[in-house]
Amino acid sequence: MTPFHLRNVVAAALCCATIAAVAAPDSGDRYRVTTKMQMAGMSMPGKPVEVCTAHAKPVSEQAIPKDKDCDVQNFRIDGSKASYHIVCTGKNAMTGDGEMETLADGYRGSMKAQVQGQQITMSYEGQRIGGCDYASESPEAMGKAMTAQACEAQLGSIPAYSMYVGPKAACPTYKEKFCANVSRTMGQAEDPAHFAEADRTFAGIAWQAVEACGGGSRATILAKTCARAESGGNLDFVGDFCPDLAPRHCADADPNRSGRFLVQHCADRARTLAAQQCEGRGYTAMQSSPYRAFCGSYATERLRARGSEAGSKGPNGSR
Amino acid sequence: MHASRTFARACALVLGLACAGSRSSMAAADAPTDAYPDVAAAYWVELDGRPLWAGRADARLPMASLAKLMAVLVAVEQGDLDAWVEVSAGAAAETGTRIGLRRGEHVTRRDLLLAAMVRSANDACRALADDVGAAVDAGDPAGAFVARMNARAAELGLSDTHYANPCGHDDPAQHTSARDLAVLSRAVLAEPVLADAAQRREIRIATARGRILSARSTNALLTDLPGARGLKTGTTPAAGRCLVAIVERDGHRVLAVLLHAPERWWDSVGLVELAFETVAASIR
Repeated sequence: MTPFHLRNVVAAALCCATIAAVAAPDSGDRYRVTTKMQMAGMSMPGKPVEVCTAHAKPVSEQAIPKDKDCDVQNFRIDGSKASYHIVCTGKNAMTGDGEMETLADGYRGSMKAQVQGQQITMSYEGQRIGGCDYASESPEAMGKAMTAQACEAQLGSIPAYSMYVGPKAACPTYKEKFCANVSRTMGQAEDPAHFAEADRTFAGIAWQAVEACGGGSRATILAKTCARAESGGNLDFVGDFCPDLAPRHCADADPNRSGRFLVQHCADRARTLAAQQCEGRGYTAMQSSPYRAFCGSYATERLRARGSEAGSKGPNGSR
Repeated sequence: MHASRTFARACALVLGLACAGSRSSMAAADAPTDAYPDVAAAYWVELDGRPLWAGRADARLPMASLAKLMAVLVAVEQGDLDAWVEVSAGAAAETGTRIGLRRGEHVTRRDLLLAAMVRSANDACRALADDVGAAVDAGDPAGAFVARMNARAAELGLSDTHYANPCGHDDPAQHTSARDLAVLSRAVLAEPVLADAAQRREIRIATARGRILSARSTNALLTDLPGARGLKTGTTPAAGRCLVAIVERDGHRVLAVLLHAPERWWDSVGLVELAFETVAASIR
């Protein structure tokens, strides 16, 4: 028997209390469940675990440890005992004969299985150790609590938007809260500085979140932001985010304020200005020049060009 | 099995969250490329500690006053920065860039350190070296200090670095590499006193008798380059124009080392801007 099969059988035994929980009453019984596995003359005891199960008959067809590819046959109840034959197909193929019994303070059961030509005997015993609140302590309730906790924890995280919005959302009931947070965070996105910051911080995912929450697409918002940047003279933003609009600002761009814009988007004017104000001048000699920032941008572009030139010549090109 | 499925989904959700947000910051540090080979005889540019570009990074070259980075590091690690130091004859006779100390004057170690770092003052650097070195060998304090500098270089793993004098005068036995300087610069920046000194545009120090000495930083980037935080300039005939530039913006730090760079200011500005552009490019 491969370790995989062994794990499956043990897991199934532990889950039988869970399987019995389908009826989902409000409170339950806490059992300490011990399993034991015997194969090829070896005995492997499992570590006892405590489980909260619904009040239900431990001796029932639902309590038989199995998966979806298993068929239970000849299930018979005789007083507090039951017996059955089980046939599993597919990846975890096996056949087995099992029995189970209700005890005064719990339940027990065993199954002799044939798996890949080997005989395995698995037994389990659940001893009732008290009551429990099935509504909060069942695996299902604990799963729900964990989901709720995770949903709450990520409400402020824009990159986690697919948890809240969309067909595969794990937290659909939190959508309204999440979108309110998105709206709060991205509400000023039409301001160029905020738009650039959002782009920098969250990249495309921020706009996917906004759109998923019904706030419009990045392109729609950007069109408005670009208009604002143009009217406010934020040409660096225009150059970076709406380069198609750049040419109409080349003539009136202030080199002192928009040096990078001029250098990157208005080559003719930048060349003329650089020849007049930058070339041949030392950095330290320009400390009070209004063109210093422009000349810095010009130097950056020149360096970029030198780098491209060196790259095109190969590793030894310019040495 | 509904309960088990719900539980499994919750677990998957929690595990998924643990993984979310871990962007490409785990990417391995790539080897730097020699993208701008004509900026300097040797150079090194890194962003947030990750090398971006470098050329002849391990070439052994003269370092000029970048030697003072090790001198001030050793002095700070010695401590007792408020101790008064008597300016030695050797210090008062130092050539090159000076702040104007006179023999026998008393200045604190902290002020000497500031003058050495900000103004690259050789007289202040030598006075500091003589004072710290005297505790080890009163007969040859400068030699003892240089030995300390070399020992500290070895501790930092600066395998291409050797000091022959504390303040950076040209000497065939005085050499370093761009890569070693990047390592040393990080060690210097880890000392708050030095990180603070590196970004001062000017200083004003007083001798014990109240004579005031003031000076402006030799680092022209501090005046106009947004986010400039230092670190040190150096110029000698053999070393040419050298610079270690530190610039911080939006939580990112660029470190650029240039040895023998004819256009060290314009090119360092360009390297810094291009390095920060890689931040934006990596996000888009």
